[in-house]
Amino acid sequence: MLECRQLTKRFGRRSALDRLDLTVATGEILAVLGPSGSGKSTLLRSIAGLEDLDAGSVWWDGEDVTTKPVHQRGFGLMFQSYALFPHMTVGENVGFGLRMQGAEDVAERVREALAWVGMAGFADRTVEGLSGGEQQRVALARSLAPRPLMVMLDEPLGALDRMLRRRLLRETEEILRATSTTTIYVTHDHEEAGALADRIAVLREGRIIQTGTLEELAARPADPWVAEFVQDDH
Amino acid sequence: MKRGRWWMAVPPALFIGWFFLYPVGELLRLSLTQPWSGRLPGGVILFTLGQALASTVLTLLVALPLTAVLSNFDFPGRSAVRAVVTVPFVMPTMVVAAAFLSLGLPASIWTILLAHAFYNLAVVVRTVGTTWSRLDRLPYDSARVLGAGRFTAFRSITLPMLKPSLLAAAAIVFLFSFTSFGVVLVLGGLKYRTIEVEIYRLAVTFLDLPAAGALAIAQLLGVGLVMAVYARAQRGAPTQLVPEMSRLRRPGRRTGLVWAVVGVTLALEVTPLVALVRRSFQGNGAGWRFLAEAGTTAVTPAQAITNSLRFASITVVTALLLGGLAAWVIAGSGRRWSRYLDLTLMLPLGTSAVTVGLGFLVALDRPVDLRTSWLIVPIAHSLIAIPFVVRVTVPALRSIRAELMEAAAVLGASPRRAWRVVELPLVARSLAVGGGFAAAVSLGEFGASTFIARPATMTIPTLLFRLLGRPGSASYSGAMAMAVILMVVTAAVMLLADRGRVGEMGAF
Repeated sequence: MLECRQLTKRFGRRSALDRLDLTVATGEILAVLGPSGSGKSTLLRSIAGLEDLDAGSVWWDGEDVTTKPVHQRGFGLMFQSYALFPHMTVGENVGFGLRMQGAEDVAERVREALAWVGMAGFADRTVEGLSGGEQQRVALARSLAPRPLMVMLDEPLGALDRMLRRRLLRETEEILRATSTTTIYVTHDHEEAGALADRIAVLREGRIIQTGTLEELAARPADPWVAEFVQDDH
Repeated sequence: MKRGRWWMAVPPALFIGWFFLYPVGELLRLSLTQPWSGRLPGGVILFTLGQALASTVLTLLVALPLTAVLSNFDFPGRSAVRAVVTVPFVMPTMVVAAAFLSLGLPASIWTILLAHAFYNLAVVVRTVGTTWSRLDRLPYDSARVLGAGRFTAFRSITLPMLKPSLLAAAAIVFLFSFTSFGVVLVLGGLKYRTIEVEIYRLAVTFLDLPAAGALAIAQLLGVGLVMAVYARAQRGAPTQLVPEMSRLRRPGRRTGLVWAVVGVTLALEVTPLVALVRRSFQGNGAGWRFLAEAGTTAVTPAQAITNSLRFASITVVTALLLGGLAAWVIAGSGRRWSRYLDLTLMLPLGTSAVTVGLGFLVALDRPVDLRTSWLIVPIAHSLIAIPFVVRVTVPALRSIRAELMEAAAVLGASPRRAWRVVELPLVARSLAVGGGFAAAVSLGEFGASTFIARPATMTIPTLLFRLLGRPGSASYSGAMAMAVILMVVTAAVMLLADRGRVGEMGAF
């Protein structure tokens, strides 16, 4: 179980995270929903250990991991821009985390991870020739292959067109459920959040202002802003 | 995530301090405190400025038509043409000088100017071309639609956007011609003397070190001025660039014009080198036979070649090590001192090689007397080679998105491991190119080497110059053959570096 206690991160005078509390149960898919600039990426980067916090602590299963270096935390993070290694093949990308763990069955587990995302047979391709959707799948496979304690997805479908988003959203959920991976899924799209997550945490100006299912948020919004944010466009 | 630790700046800073700042400081002290007979030779200074200006104008005149063609049209063989015109630029000055000698031109100012245009052409084609070939056509097209003629649109739209790169190219060409040494020494006979040649004459012929030092400092100030112009030009507002593919057009009805420009320029760039090769085989290969036999020089040609290759290897290692460390520091932090380190490391490139050599002679006897050690040669070469490594590596490092290193960390790579398996492989190409430049610099370096190389440590260029100065057609032909060897070795090194992909990733 992940626990964030009073996370605070300031950039200059602006607070990106403002005494933020958040809990994610093991096996749960939590969506963090918020407009751009609300601190979504900073939250994920802070949990991963890529940002030094000004205050607060991150706990995993009762252990304080706040000062643990990034590469020892065992969390997965999929970047919005995918951040695939351009000098490695698809297979080498997906196997990267496994090699860092010193796993012995790298080739086999790479095949397995590529099969999850429907990219079996792509292992020897270069990443340069991949389409946006294919890159997204490879990035997802790379995040999941090492079996992280928890995976964090930063607007994973943000750069894709509508049709593709819908299909990949369904596939992503299937994979996360099948591997029962604890997940934080960051998005600014309430439909996406509602379709995928067990629970939604609404983030605004560095604070979680309400948590619940999409129906609960729509039925009993904490304030008019939440009401408007989770409202359907049509 | 931070890249580069502060301590990595220490070795390159010590190197540049000991082997550049300190000697130049000593030179300054010497010229200010010791009495010296001469006055500043006004005629030489004026000639130096005049020929540098004329060389710059001539180079621009010859290079711009080709630059325009390469920046506007896509035609079969375009990238090959670009590669071929770059060849003279990486050629050592002694090869260029020998090539122009072999053309049989008289010792005149025109021969010097032509030689300068010959090897500086690539500076203009590359510097201006990289901007021009990626300029958005839209503003120009808009001007045309709004009623501007071809010429007006070019003058009011394209030219202003090219101005920073034109200025930068002109400044570099001016600088190279201003500090030109080997070419003027060989092609100018004794009639034409640049400041650089005069420093050499004062120091070596008249042993008037204070006067030579004063002149070197005066030249350094001139170089500083030009570099300031260059820096200003670089600051010009960055123009929005588009991919080459979206700008280049098929030549269509201008095919004839395109090939005429390409043909004439290529002929100018290739003829001297071909003449050199032909000259080396004249007289039934007397030159090559001379090289094989020669026992009349302090070192045999074979020894000079061995020396050159050994110095080049050491220079490559030193420049990659120190330049690499500096590049990581410079690319990694926006701190002021890292910018100063960057600028300081660039100084030897702008300083004339003769000044570097002279400074070594004046200063490097303490704390250990390096002047008698052969190590002094690769040290001087490294000083000039480090800026090349830094300049190609820093942009490559900066182009690596921070997220790649973060992704590696999240996937469990320690900082050291992420450096080894992600960052290093991604800049390996650039490092290889930088290493190639370092090797080429070392192989061709002449100005500093003439000062510091002792008879036993002569390199290909210094022996070549010695042979040119000796009477007899056999040693002259030998020099030509020597130049061909130098040309081939340099070309091979550059080709190798350009291909260099360091291993395949697989073994972590």
